[in-house]
Amino acid sequence: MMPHDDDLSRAVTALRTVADGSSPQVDASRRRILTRARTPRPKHRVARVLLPLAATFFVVSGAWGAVSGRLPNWMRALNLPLLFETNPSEGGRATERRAPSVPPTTPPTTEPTAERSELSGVPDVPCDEVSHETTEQERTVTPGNPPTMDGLRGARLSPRTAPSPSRPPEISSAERTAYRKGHTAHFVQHDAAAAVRAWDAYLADFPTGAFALEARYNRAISLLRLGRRQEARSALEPFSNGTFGGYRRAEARTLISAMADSPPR
Amino acid sequence: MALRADSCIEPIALDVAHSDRWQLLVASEHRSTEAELVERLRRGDLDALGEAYDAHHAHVRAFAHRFLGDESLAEDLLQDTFVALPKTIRSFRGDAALRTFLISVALNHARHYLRSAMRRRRAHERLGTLPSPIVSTPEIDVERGQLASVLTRALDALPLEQRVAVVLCEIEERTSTEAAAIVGVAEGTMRTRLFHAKRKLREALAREDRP
Repeated sequence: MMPHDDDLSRAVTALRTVADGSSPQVDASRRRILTRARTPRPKHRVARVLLPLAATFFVVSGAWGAVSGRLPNWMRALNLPLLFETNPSEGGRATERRAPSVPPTTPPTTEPTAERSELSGVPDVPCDEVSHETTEQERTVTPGNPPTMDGLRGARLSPRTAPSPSRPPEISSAERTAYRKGHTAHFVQHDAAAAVRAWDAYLADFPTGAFALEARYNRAISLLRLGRRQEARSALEPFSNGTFGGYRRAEARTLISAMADSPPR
Repeated sequence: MALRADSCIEPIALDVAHSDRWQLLVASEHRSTEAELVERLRRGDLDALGEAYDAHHAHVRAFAHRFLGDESLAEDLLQDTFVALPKTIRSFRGDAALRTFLISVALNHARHYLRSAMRRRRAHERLGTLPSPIVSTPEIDVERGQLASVLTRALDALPLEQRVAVVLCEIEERTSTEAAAIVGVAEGTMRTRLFHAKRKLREALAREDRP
């Protein structure tokens, strides 16, 4: 026998003896059990009513948040992973966001105050960071000219109206890298000149790429920041006259009108 | 009323206590009354619940107390077990004794209570206060109470499965077959768990012995 076998068996015996099932509360427990068994538990009824209500509330408020564009802010406030991004200026339509296209440090979608002052009277409009799907059909558009609405409709706007999260967009790593360069220069380094170069490079290589619209719009904003108003206006006009449908139409119009109202510095 | 029939035949049983035939008869009587009791429980008969409590509360309470090491939580667990009985009895197939089934129900409920019991003991240790007394009556001698407390603390350090094995096989002195049936594992698994648990407990008790 091992030296501590005695200790163990003594301890086991002690616990067995001490906890022998006797209790002064035998009758009280019996009464409580029978009372509880007789009384239907209201907690469950409440849960049965409250749980579906709570679930409905979360589903409805989540859907409303997604539609109104507030969901990403809630997600950020709750420190939850953001699976999709909402573009508020587009009526809050949620657009799919692919993790690889997001740079390591996601910058804010609006410009910092210090940089806004460079636009001297031009109203603030958010730059576009949203990524989208593309198709082969889109790539048939002639490089150099802005793709028409018809060319982009199938590829660009359809996924928004009928998103299919189960089918991720196919974007080459070269395209991602090219867009990321522009994104970093524009949103992280806030270097408008470098951003224009990067957006030009992206549009030269991928004129009908998945992020072509964002690149065009962001390029226009960068040109505006550099004070190249005429070029900025030319870049914004296709957006304002509806070449790309409603995409950034209102913002482009506001910017063009603000440029007309305020004299160049 | 079925179990009361048992108590009615008890004086006669004393006279022929050594008769195998009588033992078999009593066992068979007990089985049939238990089947009847189970059937009444299934129908939601509250008198049957009371009878089941009268017949088995001591065993369930003892198990709960031994498993949790906390008398007040054991009382709560006992109540939960019996309150849930009219519902849980639907899953009782009758291939084990009702008492065994009750222990398995108590064990399922016990996991939640065990966390509370362990938290309570740890809090007492941290605050340097006396743990909740495992001994509820002054008659039980202090040394036994202390030994039981030491064993309970050692059990706290075991994984749940091993704790279950020790309580069922060592403290409750059930066979490994019965313990395995309660837990729902193979008999060999139960024996292995018990082997490892006992080794750890011996080491823990040896550490307690050291100054």
